[in-house]
Amino acid sequence: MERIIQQTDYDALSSKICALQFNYLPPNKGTLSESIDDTLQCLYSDIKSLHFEYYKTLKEKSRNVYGKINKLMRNPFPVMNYGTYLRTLAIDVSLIKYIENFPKDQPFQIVNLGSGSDLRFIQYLKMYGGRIKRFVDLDFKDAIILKQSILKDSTNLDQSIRSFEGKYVILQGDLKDVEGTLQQLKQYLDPKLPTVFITECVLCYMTENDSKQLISTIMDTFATGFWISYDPIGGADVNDKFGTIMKRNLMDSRNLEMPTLLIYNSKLNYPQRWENEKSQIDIKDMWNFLSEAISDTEKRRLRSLQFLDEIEELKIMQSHYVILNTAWD
Amino acid sequence: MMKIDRTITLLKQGKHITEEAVYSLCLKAQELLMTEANVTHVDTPVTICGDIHGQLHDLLTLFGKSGGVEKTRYIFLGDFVDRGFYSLESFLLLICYKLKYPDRITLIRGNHETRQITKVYGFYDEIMRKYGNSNVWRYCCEVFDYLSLGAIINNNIFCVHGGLSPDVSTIDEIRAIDRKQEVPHEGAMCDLLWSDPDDVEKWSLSPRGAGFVFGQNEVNQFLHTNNVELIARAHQLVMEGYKEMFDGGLVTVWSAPNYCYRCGNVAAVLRIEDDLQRNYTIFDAVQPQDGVGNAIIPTKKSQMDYFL
Repeated sequence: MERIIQQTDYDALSSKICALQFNYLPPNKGTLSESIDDTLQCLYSDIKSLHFEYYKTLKEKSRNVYGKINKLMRNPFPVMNYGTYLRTLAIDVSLIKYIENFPKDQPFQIVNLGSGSDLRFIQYLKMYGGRIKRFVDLDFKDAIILKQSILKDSTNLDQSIRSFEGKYVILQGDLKDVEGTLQQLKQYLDPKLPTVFITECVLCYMTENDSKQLISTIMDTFATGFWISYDPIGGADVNDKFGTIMKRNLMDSRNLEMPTLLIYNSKLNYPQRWENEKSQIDIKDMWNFLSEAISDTEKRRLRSLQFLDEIEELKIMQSHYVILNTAWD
Repeated sequence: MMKIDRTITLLKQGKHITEEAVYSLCLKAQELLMTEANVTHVDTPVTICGDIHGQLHDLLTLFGKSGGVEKTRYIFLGDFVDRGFYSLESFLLLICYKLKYPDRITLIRGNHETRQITKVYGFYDEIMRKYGNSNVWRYCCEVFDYLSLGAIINNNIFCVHGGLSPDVSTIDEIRAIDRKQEVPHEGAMCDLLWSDPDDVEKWSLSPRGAGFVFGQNEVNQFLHTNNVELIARAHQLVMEGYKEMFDGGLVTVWSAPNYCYRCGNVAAVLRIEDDLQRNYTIFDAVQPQDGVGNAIIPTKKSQMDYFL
């Protein structure tokens, strides 16, 4: 099971590289009407070279993984590139908005749970380095070993990490083991500082109990925090079969389980695990995000990249993925 | 004829057709389609079918539920290929039926029946996977260039894949198009295959990047000018299989159930009776069967289109 879940990281990485190759990412200037648009531009300034460098080094480190990712990248449908664009952007917009709320002298920490090969730590440490106390990536042992060896082997990436002077910490762990995870985090993090937790397609692979445990323990331990979570939702309408079919397809094609897809199946049900008297919750689906947050000029740019053959399909897919933001203190 | 029957049997089982056989079928299909008008006349009763998208198993259900080509007249509104895993088999089956029963089946071109779109959306890759070279894809694309642009039932119902064009006010103007070419990026031929209806006041830009969005005004104008009562089109996924708009002046028919094996929609076909009454038949996707050896989603396909 661990290996099957871990392989979903190859899907995430291949999707991101595709979205970069097809120029969906980075977003253009003027994507958001809000003032953080400039910050977003800055965050994405070298996202391409960063990922291509990682991918190039991966080829040298593991032919096997490179082959798998390369295979996944063959001819991505535009709907997939749109979705990767929206997912990436939605998480960064949430994160930047939270950070920009702080006074400039407020230090904070970021934890990417189930980070896989995500390279946000470089983007954020470069931009907010002075203010970030720690950036932690945590994932299964094998994923971390591969990521570490790639980061070390690439002169460019290794140099970046050195310039972060120990602020970047990469940890092996299993999120199911909540106690163990917490012990590890406590070694490197100050529970009194504001801390952002990111779970990007991570909770969907955990059981109801494990994910509940993880969330409540973290919210109890860290006094001030912000949680950003991106996941699929199965759909709550009786006629909505998206989740049932998704569960079956993923089980049949790769033995991948999504235990809570039909439990936390709507924008109403998904936030349940974070709900308490201290938390404020905001949740949108990715179709809302595309329609409401992205400017018309940027939508026109996206349209020009590939012919999108079916809008309704994009809508169905994207209304089954959500981004949740929860702040607590 | 014997040969076509054999090919039909093989196709229904999803079995391999040799490159030579495809070549000869495509050549015959071209010769036949060449003689057809841009807008074909069709008599009632007739069954109108929307997008198929390579979902062979569901196409077989469609024929099963609607009488079959031996007994029923059909109009297919295009988008035979791409997205599903059996584009070739689906398209060739329709071509075989067309050759065997030329008066009983009308094939209209969809926006996916082009070289450019099939390279992005799966048909080209499917051919490379099945044959190791692109010859068969090229033969099929040449047939695409000869497909009709529309049909007219009893001079009363206009059928087209996408919708209307600001460059077209009369059906006669469609008849004047030189259709034997790759679908252009703009102009009347492009719009007929790409446009969509919506609640808009006037012609608007399409979010698809080709064609236009048109509203009730444009539809009423077209119906009145051409003295027809209905525009039947496909092109847009409808979760319920069909959707009538503009006081019944336009209908979208969608015939690919559980589109892309993940959308969870039902499909429909629309039968037009002699008195022009509309009868819809709804059908569901074929359920995958274990251990039958005709897996609907080929196991070789490692990629499922979800965000993980």
